[in-house]
Amino acid sequence: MTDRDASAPASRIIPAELCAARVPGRRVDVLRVLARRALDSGYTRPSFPRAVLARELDWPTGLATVVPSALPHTDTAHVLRAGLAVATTAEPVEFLTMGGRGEVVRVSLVLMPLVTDPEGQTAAITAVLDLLSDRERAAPLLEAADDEALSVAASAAFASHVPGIR
Amino acid sequence: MRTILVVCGTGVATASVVAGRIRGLLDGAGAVATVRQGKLMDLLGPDLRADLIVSTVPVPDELGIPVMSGAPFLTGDGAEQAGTALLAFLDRADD
Repeated sequence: MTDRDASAPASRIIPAELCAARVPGRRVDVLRVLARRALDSGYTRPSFPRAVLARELDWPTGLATVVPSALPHTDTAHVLRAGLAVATTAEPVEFLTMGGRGEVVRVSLVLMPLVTDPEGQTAAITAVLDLLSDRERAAPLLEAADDEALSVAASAAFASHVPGIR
Repeated sequence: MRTILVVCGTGVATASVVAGRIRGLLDGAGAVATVRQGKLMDLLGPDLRADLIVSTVPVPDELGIPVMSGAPFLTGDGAEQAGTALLAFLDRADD
């Protein structure tokens, strides 16, 4: 988006360091792994992993879209650089649905927007949601065998829709 | 001018998307309303003014303001129906 940091560690829209393919475990495990990637690659403050986990408990983000997914995110105060962290799960993982009253959705795709500017990133987040209603476009992400392949697939999926999602 | 308040848990991500799609819907239909966005806590403030709340999180019933789910605008599932309902609400409110 507006981030044009020349020291950015990767030129790909969604670098492998923000990707975690075939993560085993339950919801909390997937959230921890993905939040940790974002922290370790310098996108967030140390407070981010705990904040995104707490936020998911208060305001669940599971979406019963064509491609069932979750969109965990938290306040801009915990984020240093805009981006999108992407995980696929080894087995479908249960999330509570956004705005629901206890309904559960089983997801294999978790997209974690790293939001610094809610207004400026609206187009990017809209593009993320568009992907979730397009099984064909989402398929390469779900088929990716490792982080590198997931990075390539996710970057390709978003490239033509949101130039510079960061 | 009617005011639509779009609400999500943190005001970070989903409210922006829903508000954007509602603005697009209004433009396309030639309807006019103020669309504001915010987080759920804003609803508890003393200066809450809205004719309609569109929310991606459960909203307390006691507010006395009509509430619509923001989920259809977010996911696209049922968006057409929700858009029709929103425009019909504005029509009625203008009478």
